[in-house]
Amino acid sequence: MGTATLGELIGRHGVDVLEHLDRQVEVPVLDGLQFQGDLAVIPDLQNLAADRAAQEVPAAGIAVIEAVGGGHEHRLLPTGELTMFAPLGGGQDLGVLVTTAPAYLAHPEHGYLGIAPGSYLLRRQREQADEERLVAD
Amino acid sequence: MPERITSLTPEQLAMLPGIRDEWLAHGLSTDIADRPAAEAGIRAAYQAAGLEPPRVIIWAGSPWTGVIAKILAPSIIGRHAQVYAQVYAQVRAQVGDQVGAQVGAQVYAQVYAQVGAQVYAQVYAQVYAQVYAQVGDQVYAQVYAQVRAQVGAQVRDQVRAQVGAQVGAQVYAQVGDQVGDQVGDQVGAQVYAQVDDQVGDQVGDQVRDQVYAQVGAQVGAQVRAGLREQSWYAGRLAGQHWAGYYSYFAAMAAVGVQNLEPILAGQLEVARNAGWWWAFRGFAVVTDRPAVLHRDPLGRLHCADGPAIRYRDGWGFHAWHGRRVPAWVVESPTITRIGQEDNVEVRRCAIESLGWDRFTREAGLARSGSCVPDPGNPGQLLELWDVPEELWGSAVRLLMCANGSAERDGTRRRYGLTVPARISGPLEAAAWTYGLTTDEYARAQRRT
Repeated sequence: MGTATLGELIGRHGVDVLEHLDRQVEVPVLDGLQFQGDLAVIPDLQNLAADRAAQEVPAAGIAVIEAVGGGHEHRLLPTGELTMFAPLGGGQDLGVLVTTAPAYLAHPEHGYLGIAPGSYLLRRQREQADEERLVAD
Repeated sequence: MPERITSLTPEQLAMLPGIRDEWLAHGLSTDIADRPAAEAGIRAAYQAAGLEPPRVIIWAGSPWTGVIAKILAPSIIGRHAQVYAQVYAQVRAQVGDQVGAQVGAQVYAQVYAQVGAQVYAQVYAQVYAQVYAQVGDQVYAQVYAQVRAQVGAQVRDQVRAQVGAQVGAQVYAQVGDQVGDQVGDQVGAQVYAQVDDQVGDQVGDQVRDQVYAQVGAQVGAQVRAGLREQSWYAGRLAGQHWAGYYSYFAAMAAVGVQNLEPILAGQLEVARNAGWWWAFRGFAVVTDRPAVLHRDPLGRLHCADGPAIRYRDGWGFHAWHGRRVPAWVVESPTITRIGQEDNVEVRRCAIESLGWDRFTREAGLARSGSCVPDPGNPGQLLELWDVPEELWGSAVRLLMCANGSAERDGTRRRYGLTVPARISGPLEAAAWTYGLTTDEYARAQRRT
């Protein structure tokens, strides 16, 4: 599978993004550190993926950060082959992603992020209040 | 005895998200109340508790008005008891059918005009004693007992986690609780403080003026005494704001738990069709739902340009990411006012409301380290600023960064994130927000 444009990915996965984002732009599939707003995709160098109870991500994807109130969700989308996600249960670390084919993260404001086969840690952004708190956009 | 439920089938599990979402929608609804449906629910709730349905159901525009109404109602009802038969129809029509009008003006004046100035001492406790206990506590005891008897602990935990707790976390924890706190604070701030330690007429006048302003009519001693002596929440059922609790039992009924329906159906009906209500012997007070409800992406009450919650009678309040704040924080924040504000949390909300870009400029912050390119975010810069501890209330620094995607108008949204004060450079600060080392962050490939 070659690199796809944002418009092609929207057509393929059915998850739309805000209309002002350029549909012609190519979405690179990368194996390094990437950010989609308040969500980081971190190459899993510590191999956290090992011995985690993972679930297969269905074609419709799963919301790794759910939309609440006026917010938007970050949706993890597989592209056919096996994509597994193991939630880590709250806090900053959302879960471990293991994929044998490119996977995408879709977000209405941030568009699509292309993730190469491999294993990754999905982690939220935080800031310092009296205690640390999670960032939400 | 029905068979005990010790596990859920895939079909039953699949129903839970729908029940959760349905009750989330009830709990956060801003639709106008369905009065006939809610009143039918109230009557059914009394009957389920073995009580005679209330003869009078008073509608109030908001929980605050509802508190005033429940204090006023006993004396009003008592006053016209003698001529109840004659005036009932008129009073009922007035009380039931006018939307949003304040209770004092609407009910008190009408009844007063009808029956004259006779004063009846009503002992509040006589009116509500037992009724709430029966409609409220006993019902809970009964439904919990039914569920415990019919459902295994594992399934109870499952339903609680997937339905009740989720709805409750969104609705009561974020909205209902705050509404209650606001009502409680308002009672405290506006009435208690001035009534408690004062007894003279002078002060009585002062209180009356305050209450008058709130209620829209001269309401007299009953209200003052009532607000002082009666908890605002006595007799309360939070209706739509108890969506978490109700969703749990709705889910239990849906997976086959029996005998819940007759006990709880009335209360569920009120919660689906109105806001808070109070149950008393002979009468009930029920409120409309909010007209406006704004929340942030984490579900906390929040609105950047007006009240976060507003009811149709005008009552409501401002909130900033879940914290109730004075209106100026949202409507007109300035550096001067922020400097004068005693409460550190309110100050922080006002700084965020003012906007970090304006705050760094107008408060004359000092930059910490140089301005550096944001890795993976071409053309965008990271900056770190010192925030004066006397303004923020603790030692932090401020990281200013830019979104990876353009806004509708082509600009990049810039935003500020607070980081620990020990962090000395912008790259280290950005890395910290994702729990990465500076070297790891520097290798970022792409940001959207």
